[in-house]
Amino acid sequence: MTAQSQHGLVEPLLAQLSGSFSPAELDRVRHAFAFGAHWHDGQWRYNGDRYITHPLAAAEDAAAAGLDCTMVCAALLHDVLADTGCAPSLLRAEFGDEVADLVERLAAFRYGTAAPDDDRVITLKLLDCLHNMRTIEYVDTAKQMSKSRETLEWLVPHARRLGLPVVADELEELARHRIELLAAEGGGEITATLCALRLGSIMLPTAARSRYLEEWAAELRAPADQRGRRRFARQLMLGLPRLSVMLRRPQWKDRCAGIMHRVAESRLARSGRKALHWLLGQRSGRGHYSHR
Amino acid sequence: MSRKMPRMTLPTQLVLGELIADPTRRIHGFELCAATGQPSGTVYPILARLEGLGWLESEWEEPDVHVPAGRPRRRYYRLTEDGAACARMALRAAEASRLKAAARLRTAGARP
Repeated sequence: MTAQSQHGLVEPLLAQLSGSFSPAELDRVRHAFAFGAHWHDGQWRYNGDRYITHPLAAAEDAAAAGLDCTMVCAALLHDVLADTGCAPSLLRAEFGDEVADLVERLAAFRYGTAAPDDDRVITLKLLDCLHNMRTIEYVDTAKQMSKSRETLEWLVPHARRLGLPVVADELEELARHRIELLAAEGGGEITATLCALRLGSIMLPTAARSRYLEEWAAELRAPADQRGRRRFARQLMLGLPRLSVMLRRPQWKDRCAGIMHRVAESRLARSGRKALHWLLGQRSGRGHYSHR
Repeated sequence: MSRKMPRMTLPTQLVLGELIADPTRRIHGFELCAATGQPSGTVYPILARLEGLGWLESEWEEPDVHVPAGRPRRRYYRLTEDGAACARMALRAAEASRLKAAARLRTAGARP
């Protein structure tokens, strides 16, 4: 898909603005979207969406908040200087000093730096962060934690000071919820283990899969420490082939277990072990185990 | 309820022994692994087997317990009434055959 064919994405925003913006302003918004879509072409969000959907979401929030054309355009263009090869001079030539200044100052405004004296830069940062926090489940867990903390300590107070209680409340709720979730999940380690188990569970009958994954999500929190959790998970992986056979043959006659069952089970166990070795190798950054 | 018997391996006997100690008690997977000293990869297939035979039943933990605890719900296992009777019988039979085997060994050892 080229930047040209993404143009339909901006229509809802234009419709949203059509009552309050003049035709000239609507043209400017359309141009800002086309410019952003061009420079972000080939870039993707963590959730697999085109990157331009992020500035677009920020611009829609700006429009919903009743901000002016300069702010809506700046929201559409807010990442072109930080994340693409677009030259500041080009942005300035296309959209004027006001928009270019906002975007340049936003790119320099980070956690730990002094707050800019222009509240509009902070507002843009809040719009940027709001959409990022709404879609944060797709980034890695360490980043989820640090971004949530930054939001609570840094951005929520700014939003309250600027008189944006709706934005402040949503940011606060999103960040708190995320931190609670991460704490409950043992800082992401359990999530990673569950991912491995989810892969392994392909060998279970479809009807039983989600039940066991849900059951193990609770059980992985039962061992007292990480070592216990890892042992529990490793043994589960090794037992999956046998569990799979049991679930497929609930009336299986143990006493006269046919040789064919044992052959099938040992084959399943072998492929399960291979999958596990591959996974462990991937997680420790090696393709295979080295024996000394 | 099936009349079929599971193969009474030592881990199966340990799992049934733990469950029969208090047949009304419900127990979750990790608890059973810890109590029997058996690996999770051994215990879960046994639980699935026993549940398939109708010796066991399982149920999800109630929301008023797991929600305040801030974790996903546990799955609890409990012997059914018939299951408890069958388990007692099976454990007795396993014990008897173990005694018989031990006696045979002693007799064999006593021979010149």
